[in-house]
Amino acid sequence: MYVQAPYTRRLSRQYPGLFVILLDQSGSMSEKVEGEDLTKADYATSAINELIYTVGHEAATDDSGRTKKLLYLTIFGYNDSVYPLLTTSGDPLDIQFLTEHTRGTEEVVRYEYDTQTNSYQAVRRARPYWIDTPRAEGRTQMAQALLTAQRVIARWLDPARPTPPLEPDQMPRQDGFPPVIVNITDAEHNGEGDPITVANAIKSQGTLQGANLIFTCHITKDKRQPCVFPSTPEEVAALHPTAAAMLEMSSVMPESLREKAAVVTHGIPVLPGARTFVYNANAQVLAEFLKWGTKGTMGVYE
Amino acid sequence: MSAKAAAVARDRRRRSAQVWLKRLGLLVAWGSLACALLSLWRVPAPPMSLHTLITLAAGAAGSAVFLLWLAFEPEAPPSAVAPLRAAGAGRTPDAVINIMAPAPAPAPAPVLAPNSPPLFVPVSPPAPISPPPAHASTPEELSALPPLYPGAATPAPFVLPAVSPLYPDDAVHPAGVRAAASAGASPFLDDPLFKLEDPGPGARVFQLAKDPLQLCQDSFAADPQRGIFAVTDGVSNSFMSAPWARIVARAFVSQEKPFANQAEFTAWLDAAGASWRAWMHETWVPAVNRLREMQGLTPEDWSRRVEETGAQTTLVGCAVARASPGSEASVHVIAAAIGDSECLLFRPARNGWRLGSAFPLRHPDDFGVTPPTLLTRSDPSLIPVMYQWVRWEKLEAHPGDRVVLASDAIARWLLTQALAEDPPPGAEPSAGAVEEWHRVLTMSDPVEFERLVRGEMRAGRMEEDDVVLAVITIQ
Repeated sequence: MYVQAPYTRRLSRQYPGLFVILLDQSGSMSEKVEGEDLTKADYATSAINELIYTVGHEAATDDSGRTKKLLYLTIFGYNDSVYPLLTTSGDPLDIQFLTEHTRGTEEVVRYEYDTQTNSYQAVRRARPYWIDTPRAEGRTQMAQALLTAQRVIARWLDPARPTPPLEPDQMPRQDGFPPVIVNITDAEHNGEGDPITVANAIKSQGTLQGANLIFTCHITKDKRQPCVFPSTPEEVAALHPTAAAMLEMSSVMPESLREKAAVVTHGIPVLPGARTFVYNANAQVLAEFLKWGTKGTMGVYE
Repeated sequence: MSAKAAAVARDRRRRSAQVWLKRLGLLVAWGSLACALLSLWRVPAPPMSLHTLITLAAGAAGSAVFLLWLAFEPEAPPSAVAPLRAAGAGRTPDAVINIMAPAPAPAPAPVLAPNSPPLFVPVSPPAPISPPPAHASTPEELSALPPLYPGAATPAPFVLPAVSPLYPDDAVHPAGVRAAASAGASPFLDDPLFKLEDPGPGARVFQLAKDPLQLCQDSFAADPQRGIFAVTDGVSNSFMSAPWARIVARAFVSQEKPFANQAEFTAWLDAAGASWRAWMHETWVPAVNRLREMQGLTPEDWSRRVEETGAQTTLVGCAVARASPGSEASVHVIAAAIGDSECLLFRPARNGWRLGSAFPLRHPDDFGVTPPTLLTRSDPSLIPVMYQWVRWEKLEAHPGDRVVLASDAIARWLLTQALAEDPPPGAEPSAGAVEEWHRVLTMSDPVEFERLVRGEMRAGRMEEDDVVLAVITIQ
């Protein structure tokens, strides 16, 4: 029973949010993106690193210049098994810690607007990274990955012993924005269990602000038209038999995120009832989807 | 032939000559040594003949010269073909994270050298580590769920395997650092910059920080003698917007006359920006670096963030004056605004208050996500843009009216409530309108104000944000 206005709590130091990112690292992720020399795994890994960087640097700072602990983050890779990519236990880390403790730096190419030529120019920038060399092997144990995320969320929301423990000025996590799972995958589930059942179980729980959210981003190596935030199975029926299953796993988009979703659709209004699901995402859509999913929730577009 | 190609050719000729010299030296050395050994074999006992001694000496000298030549041979020059990527410059291939460009851009060529290590070093199947703590393995929440696998009696327990984690768990949250970091409220809560002045008789101001341990990023300033008031709203994800909001508000009320043209606006904004930078360099940076040292962190060079990133704020200000000397019935309110901080005029009505006018935004739906702001950066190209954003309005007020200056969250709430109760012509009145908003126009107790605002935020009717509200009674 949700007694507060749903999904309205902006992330803050007192009410930080939790993001669990699940990254498919099965064999099919080693496929090269059409017309390019990079694999889907390369793109997905770089997108997550870029996400942590931008969230850490664009999030509000406290009066001492340190990034506020507005959100906690944990990342799991999954193929034949599910394994944490940040900590041994998979416990979430706060964004302040991540910003101040990077793994190293790598060079990335960015397109930045050049006021001299009035055009976008490719520039190389050194960027810190947190997720190491991408892997791509084995099957797709999506149900196990979701089960792991569910366990992390249960520990995060555990009123008796929340993990990580509450900091002195943090409020009970049941009052905060519900945890968000971001599932980045390129293929259908082919492991044990039923991911839809696990996803429905996850979505049946939550905080006083609303049910837990599952965002699903299906990435592709082909240059196809992405299907962004569909509402009904009919809209994705023609895409692939598995698209309807991914749609069902994803959450119905909360109203508070709907108006900000135009960032991903490039201005096209998102209809009520749309699911937090993108099919056939390319690198740009993946980056925009992640940016919307986290920063939109944080309310830092303001 | 280019200079680079000529150098490569010269280098090739030199290396070829060195190879032939080395072969010749080797031939001479081995020949001398063979001669010496042959002489020893043919002369069984000392004393040796002069011929034998000369042959032995020649063999030894030839070997020594050859070894010396080998020892002093110059190091091979670097290859003319440099690797595409410096060692250690990057661990993963470049990827295009194209967030800004409106259309997909061409992908860059990969910069991996042909002889780089493989991208993926296979990892042996990870061994399970200790199971999760007891409280997490069988939480009540999990047991209350429907069965995950219909048909299976008990799903197999799942244990997290360990694969080269980045941060060992015991290093992630050292208790001492966590306590020190969290226990510290803002070190600037008592700084004189943030002490609001008395708004004067007939005016009240309420300031409420979303995070009570941090500075309120919305600010206020007043010069009650001249009847000038200002409210500012610092942008939360800009860099140190709380002092910028306060400085801009003070700069607005202390200016001799309103900026009538771009040159005056530029001078006004430059002076405010210089004040912010001075406060940051003289007060903020030393205090923050001292605090970091106390917390065991390295002091930082903040100059880039101060000079280049900077802070942003919105502004609404007004000057209240009699329409004509001696006139009691009519008062002019000249308002200026940049962004979504609001100037609202309320008039007494039969059942309390009604909205007279709203400026610069007329409707709650007009509040956007990225309002125009004033920046600390003194970039000459931005000044004309910011000047274009300034909006002016002249309102007609009467004794008893209330002029409200408010930051966006509470302004939007007030507009929503007032329009719902008193809809514009042609619109249906909203059934769910509440009358709480009437109270904020008359209340004077900050505790009562905080209770009302936090209650509205909890109920989801007001956005959770810092809040500043100034209510000026026209007399």
